[in-house]
Order: sequence, then C-alpha cells, then structure tokens
Amino acid sequence: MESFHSRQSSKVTAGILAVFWVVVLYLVLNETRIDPDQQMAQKIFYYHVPSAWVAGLGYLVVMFAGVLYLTKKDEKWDHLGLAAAELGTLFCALVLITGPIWAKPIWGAPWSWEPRLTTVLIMFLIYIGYFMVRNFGDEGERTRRISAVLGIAAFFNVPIIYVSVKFWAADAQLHPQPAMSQQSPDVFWTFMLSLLVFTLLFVHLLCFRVHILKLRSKVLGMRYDV
Amino acid sequence: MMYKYFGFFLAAFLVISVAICSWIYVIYQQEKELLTELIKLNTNKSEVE
Repeated sequence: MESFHSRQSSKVTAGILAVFWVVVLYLVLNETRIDPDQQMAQKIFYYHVPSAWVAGLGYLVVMFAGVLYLTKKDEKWDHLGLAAAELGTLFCALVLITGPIWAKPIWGAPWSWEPRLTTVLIMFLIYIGYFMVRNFGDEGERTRRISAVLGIAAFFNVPIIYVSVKFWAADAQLHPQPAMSQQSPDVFWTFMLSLLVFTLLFVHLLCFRVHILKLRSKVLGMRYDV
Repeated sequence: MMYKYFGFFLAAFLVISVAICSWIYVIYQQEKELLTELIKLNTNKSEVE
C-alpha cells in the first residue's frame, strides 16, 4: 500500500487547494467591501460559514455511511463514517471558535445562549459522545454498529440547526439571518469560492483519512496473522 | 490603512489555518508510522514463510 500523497492526483489536488486558499485570502482582504459597522470582523464570515457548511456535510456523510454500514456490514462504510465524523467535528469546533471571535467585538460578548449557537454546541457535544463510544469501545462489530446508529440519530440535529434562526421566537434570536441573495457580487462570488475551496478541502481530507483507516485496518489484520 | 477589528479577523484566520495544518500533520505522521509497520510486518511474514 502506497502513501496517499505519492499519488499524482492527490498531489495535484493538494497543490490546487493551497493555491486557492491563498486566492480566497487575497479576495477577502483586497476585493470584498468593508462593512461600515463590523469592518474587518465581518470578513470572518468567509471562513465561519463555509466551516459550518463543511461540518454539516460531514455529518450528512456520517449518516449515509451509517445507513450503508448497517445494511451492508462492509468495513469501508465504517471507515467513511469515522473519517467524516472526525472532519465534521473538526470544522464544528472551528465554527464554535470563530463565532465567538466575531461575536466579541460585535455583540460585546463571545457567547450567547441563543438558538443557533446552542444547537451547534449540542451537535458538537453529541459527537464528543460519538468519539467516546469509538475510543472506549472495542474494535469490533458492536462498537461500529452503535457508532452508525449514533451517527444516524445525530444527523437529525443538522436541520434543526439550519432552521433555528427562524424556528424560535424573534426575541430569542441574536445570530445574523442568512441573506446571501442581497449581497453585492464581490461578496457573493468570494463567498462562493470560499465555499467551494472548503468543500474540496473536505473531500480531499476525507479521502486521506479513509486511506489511513484502511491502512490501519490492514496493519491490525497483519499483526494478528503474524 | 488598517481597518478596525483586523486582529479579530487575523485570529480567526490563523485558528482555522493552524487547526487544519495540525490535523493534516497528525494524520500524516500516523500514515508514516503505519506504512513503516506494514513494511516491517511484511518482512516478518516473508521470513516466517
């Protein structure tokens, strides 16, 4: 089995991602308008929202991988589910860190127990539970099955997070409402590019992690044989 | 001209970049260790055979 980045396609994708990471930063700093109230703090949005999108995408993959694992009992779906859960939680943590960095100057406080923030925190804590199951359980079928079920159940929180800015009463809301259609083209297209780069990064890192989990499984199997 | 709250933007950008790079570094190290072990196990297996 070869190293993931010894493949030509992986090297090219990693290179493209690195270039576009810099391009997005350039566009965010130089081409997008400065918000008169929030000034540079508003630009955190170009990284915060794509992180949240990727976290949601990760949890969607966990759900599909969980369903496929329970129906097909194939280890590759468990690998996909675990890799997506790790990435989803990494980006969910980034959402929970960059949000308060934005909120501190704008709201005057880094945290508020309002619906969007609270539901995202609940999602993060559910996945802490998921990793506790994975780490304290054995390597066997039972742990994988419980994780798959947990991954499927946890996904039901994602639509709740999405509608949370509208679902609860207006006086409970503090999080900005989505209004991308009203944005100027510079803001809109830079945001779209950032979203695309984060999505590609997610797919690339997911393939990398699945490759390592496959490798780990092979090594564990060989240890047993030898 | 330096705009207001630049430090907050920089902090958020650095947190994201450092977190992603650290994650890549950790799994890259893991891959290296696993590949080394795989080579060792393959060698042991062929010696036994």
